Amino acid sequence: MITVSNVSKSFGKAQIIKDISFVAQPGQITGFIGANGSGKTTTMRLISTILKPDCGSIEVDGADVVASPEEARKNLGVLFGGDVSLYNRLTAWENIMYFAKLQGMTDDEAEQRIRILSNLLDMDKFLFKRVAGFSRGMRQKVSFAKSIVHNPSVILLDEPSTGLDIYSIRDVQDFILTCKEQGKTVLVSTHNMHEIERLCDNLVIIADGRIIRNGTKDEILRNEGTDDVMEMFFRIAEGASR
Amino acid sequence: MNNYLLILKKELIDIFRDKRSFITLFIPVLLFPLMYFFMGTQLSGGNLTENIPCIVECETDSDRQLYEAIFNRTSLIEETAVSEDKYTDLKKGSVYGIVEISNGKITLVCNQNSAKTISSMNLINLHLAAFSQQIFNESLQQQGVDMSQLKALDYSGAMTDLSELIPDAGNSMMASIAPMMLVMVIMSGGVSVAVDLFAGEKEKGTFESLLTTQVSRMALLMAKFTAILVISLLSMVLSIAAYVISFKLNPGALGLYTGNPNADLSDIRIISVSQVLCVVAVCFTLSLFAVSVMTLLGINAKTVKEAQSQMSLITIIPTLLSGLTMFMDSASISDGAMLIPVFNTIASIKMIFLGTVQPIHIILSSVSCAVYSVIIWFICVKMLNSEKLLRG
Repeated sequence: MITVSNVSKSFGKAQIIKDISFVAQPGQITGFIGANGSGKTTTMRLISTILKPDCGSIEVDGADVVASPEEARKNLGVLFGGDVSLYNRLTAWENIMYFAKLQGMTDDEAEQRIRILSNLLDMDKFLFKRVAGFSRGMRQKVSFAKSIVHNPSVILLDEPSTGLDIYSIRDVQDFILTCKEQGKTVLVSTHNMHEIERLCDNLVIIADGRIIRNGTKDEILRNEGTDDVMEMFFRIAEGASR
Repeated sequence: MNNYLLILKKELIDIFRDKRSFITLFIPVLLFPLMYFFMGTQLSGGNLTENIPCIVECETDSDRQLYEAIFNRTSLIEETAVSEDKYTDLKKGSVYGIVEISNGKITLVCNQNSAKTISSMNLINLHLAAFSQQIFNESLQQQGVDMSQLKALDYSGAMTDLSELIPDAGNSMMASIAPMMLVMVIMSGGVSVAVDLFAGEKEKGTFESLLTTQVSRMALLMAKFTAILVISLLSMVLSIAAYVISFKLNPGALGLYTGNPNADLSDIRIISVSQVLCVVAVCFTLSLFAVSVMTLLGINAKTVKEAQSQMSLITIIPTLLSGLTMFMDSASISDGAMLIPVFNTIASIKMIFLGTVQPIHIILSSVSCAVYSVIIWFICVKMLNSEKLLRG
């Protein structure tokens, strides 16, 4: 579970995050939606312990990200904005193994887990090839695997399907649904309305550093009087800017 | 410690699989012998000691006779016809000089812009001086003058180098080659790796992923620092090997540093083990300093391009300082100057090979570089823990 309570964050004089609070529940996929520059990535970075909040608190499965960041990181798998960045001269296996070991896994544990992820993400054909010549879809799958190789209970995904072809999008979305079925807490930041429609149980909508809606997807759609997620987003965003 | 070794191992695998690193490391081994072969050929190939092509202009028949008297007994000059204009021929290098004799007055014209002709023309000059002295002596002897009474000083003009008289007087050849060579290699060896390990990772986005793992930022910094240091030291060792191979294949190239085209490798003598240890000490502490600076610049830069432009400075500065110390009398360098990084290493190595170094010089040089490295390290740690690092 992710619990964000009254968090604010400034860079210099610019306040990027303004007193936000929300909860992402285990076994559910929470969509984190907002326009570019609204504060989504900063919030993701705060949850992933890379940045520290100026005030308020964030807990990842009960571990405070400021007081015990190592503990929080143990429970956390993070895939940053369109993160297909890998070490090109290492094989997919070596990339994933490197991150597994950095997460404190033994060789046996890591090997077992990589085999499972390779099956799930259909990576067997290119697992032992160097990443340099991979397509974006292949790279995204390896990035996914490296982010969750330590089997974290909380997964942060920042724009996971950006730039992928339709087959890769399906594979990635299926994998996110599998994570949900396994009872993991999944927070997905995305601009893809179809992805929100297909995946998300709950929505947190952010604009200009403030949470402007927070609840179940169905509840928010009903309140806005529409079935269309894109229409819902525009109505909420335009309402907030008035 | 485990994470440190894990990251170091991964970085070294990554570096050695990179063709660019391979080229950076091994290009000197291939390129230096070729470069010195070409330069050595230029240096020794152009200097003629006989059959020097010259245009000879004699105004009168007696001037021609004088010329023949001076040069016909030797094969020093090969008289060459004018093809275009005598000065144009000299400028183009088809002749090395012009010998003009007018009513007994001899003038030599040479092209000072052409290095290969200067030493050849000096030989003609020396021959003329010797011939003049011989005529003078013969004339005096014909008049019954005792030549030994005319000798004001018993001095031949030749100088003996101190190193030929006492074994620890130093080695000026090494003093001119070693500092420049070593320092330039140390300062530039790890640059491409340093750019890739910090700015490269930030640009790719892998750095951010690393920060969400269990690894501490300190272990990350130490492992990457060690990887750059390994490459820097390896680069230094390979470059030294490349220089030795170069001079072994083409000893004439040593003349570039000594002015003596006949120098060979036996002229380079490393006098004692203590000298070698002193050189290793100052080179190692300079490597620590150089790698610390590279690490700092790598952390500070947001992009590879920015890191590359900043790091070009650390290859330019030692080049300038190396040039500066070539004209400096090492015996007059003050203790205070030994606190200036890079300069102190160049000066120390020079003094080590000249045999003028004092223990205090080595201590000041090594300790100051080590202290600067520690200071830069603290700044690196502070920057790595700063949120500005990833704000972009």
